[in-house]
Amino acid sequence: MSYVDAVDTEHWAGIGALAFAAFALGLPFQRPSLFLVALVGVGFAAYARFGDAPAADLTVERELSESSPSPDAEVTVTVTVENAGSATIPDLRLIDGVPPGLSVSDGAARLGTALRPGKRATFSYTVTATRGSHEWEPLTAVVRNASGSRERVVEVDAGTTMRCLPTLEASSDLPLRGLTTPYSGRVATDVAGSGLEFHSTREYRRGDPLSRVDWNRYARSGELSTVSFREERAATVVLLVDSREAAYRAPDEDTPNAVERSVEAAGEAFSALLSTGDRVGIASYGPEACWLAPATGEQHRATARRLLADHPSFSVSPSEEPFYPSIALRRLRRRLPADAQIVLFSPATDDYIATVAERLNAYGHQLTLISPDPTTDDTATRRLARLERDTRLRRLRSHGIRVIDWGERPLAVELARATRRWSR
Amino acid sequence: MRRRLAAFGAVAVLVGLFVSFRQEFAGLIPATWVFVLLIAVAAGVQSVTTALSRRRTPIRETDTGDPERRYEAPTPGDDLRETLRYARRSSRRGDRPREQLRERIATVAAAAVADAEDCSESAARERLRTGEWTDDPVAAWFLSDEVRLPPAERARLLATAPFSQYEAAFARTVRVVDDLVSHGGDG
Repeated sequence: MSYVDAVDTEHWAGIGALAFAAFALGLPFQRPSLFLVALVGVGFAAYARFGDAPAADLTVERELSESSPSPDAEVTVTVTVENAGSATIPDLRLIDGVPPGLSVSDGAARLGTALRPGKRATFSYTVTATRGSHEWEPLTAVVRNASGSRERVVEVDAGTTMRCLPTLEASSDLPLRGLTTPYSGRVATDVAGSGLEFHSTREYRRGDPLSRVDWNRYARSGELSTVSFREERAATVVLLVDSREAAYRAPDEDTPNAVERSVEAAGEAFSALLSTGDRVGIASYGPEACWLAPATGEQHRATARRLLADHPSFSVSPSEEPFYPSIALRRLRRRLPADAQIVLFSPATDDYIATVAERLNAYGHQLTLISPDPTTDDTATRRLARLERDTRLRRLRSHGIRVIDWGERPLAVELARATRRWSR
Repeated sequence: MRRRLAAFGAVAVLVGLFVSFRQEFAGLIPATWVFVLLIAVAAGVQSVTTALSRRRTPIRETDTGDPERRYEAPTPGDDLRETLRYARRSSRRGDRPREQLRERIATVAAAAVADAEDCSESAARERLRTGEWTDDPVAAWFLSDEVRLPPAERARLLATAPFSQYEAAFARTVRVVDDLVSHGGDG
């Protein structure tokens, strides 16, 4: 529990003017009623100076109807405050420290009351669960004396955490680029071998499977030849989430910010890639470094799920830690496997991240940018920011980077459109 | 001064209490009309002083914030509002906020002109300089030092936005560039 020294609120400042004015009028005109009014003023002035804001000794219990809810579930929070001290608190205002990532959907996270020693007060409200680990901040109690002329702030911690794991539902297939591993998978390469898509024919060699012999050609010319297909291989993909302060942007207060959308999309992409046999990793580019090396398997999926829920770099509000962009980029490059392609999730609201994307692409990690659009055009300055972002995305496309400009439609729709565009 | 006044007040209260118990001393206090009026005037002055000091004293209370709402991220472009506010207050040439805003629009406009006209970025910059990139006189003037704003247009701008011509010109230029990006300038 932490206290702040009591301060004067000045609520009663100037009440003496009433007493003086009534006295000044009552004296020359000899009106007893005005003298009485002056006495009332004196009484209020004395009342304002009576007593200090008590140093409240409070205990807080906070109960959640569910401590590990699924996303979008409604969770009821019940807060009970007890006056554990020996003094009556005549004026107590309680404001609960709802985590910044949660919004109250029903009720109010505050209460105004008076508490005698040993008595308890309870209030409750409902929050809508969102992905992440949400820790409650201390409850703030504003304590005043009876007249409200003195005020003290007390903060009481109750240590409550709610953990909401993302569901990691797979979106439609994420279109990948040509950089692959030697393992078989679903990315069609330019290497001739076994697969589905026709690549070429060549002279028959002993040991070629009979199913790949071109029998039509044999019937026409009597020559044995073997059909080759594009070999399909697995890819190593790192899902890189831009979590710098500049990425925390939203078009309005009701829409999730770009980092939240990015993390949600990364979860979907992770699940989709894992189910198609690709090796997937997760990284962040922001003040809180996060790295999950590319791998496969159910255990890897569970680790990613926890990471996307708990890691501070994927928090719904920006980190206050300092960020050194060049060092972060160097560290990321050291960790990236040579054959890893990158799917970058970023709103691209500044030039710096565009430069990072260009550099990573130039280093050979074929990069795809999925960019949740946080811009709007209801004012001239916002319209200019939207135009700047459009220009940035056009520049990236012209540098050979695949860009998915993700608006309000579901990611799966945007991915399907992009796949059609890229396969032409 | 305040101490003296407080001491005087304390003495007056003590004398009053004393007289209320020993009323035979009441005759020692001058009760003439002038004396009573003087005290009333002093009380009146004090009431005015107290009322004025009340007006100067801010009421303090703890700001409890809005914990019911979740973190609200800013919208891209909000950072420019402050720059625009500074730019409104200064002269058109030779000042940093205005230069900053103009350069940001010019960068976007140059890219849009280069796309629309299928020319290089430097050729697009040249068109911005000469004002050939648009038919809109305000947008052409806004992005160039060499283009003059016709008096009729200046008067129109003044009439539409008497208190913030700079902001109106800024908004109009952004709209023209947006048009160029969306419709290649035909819309």
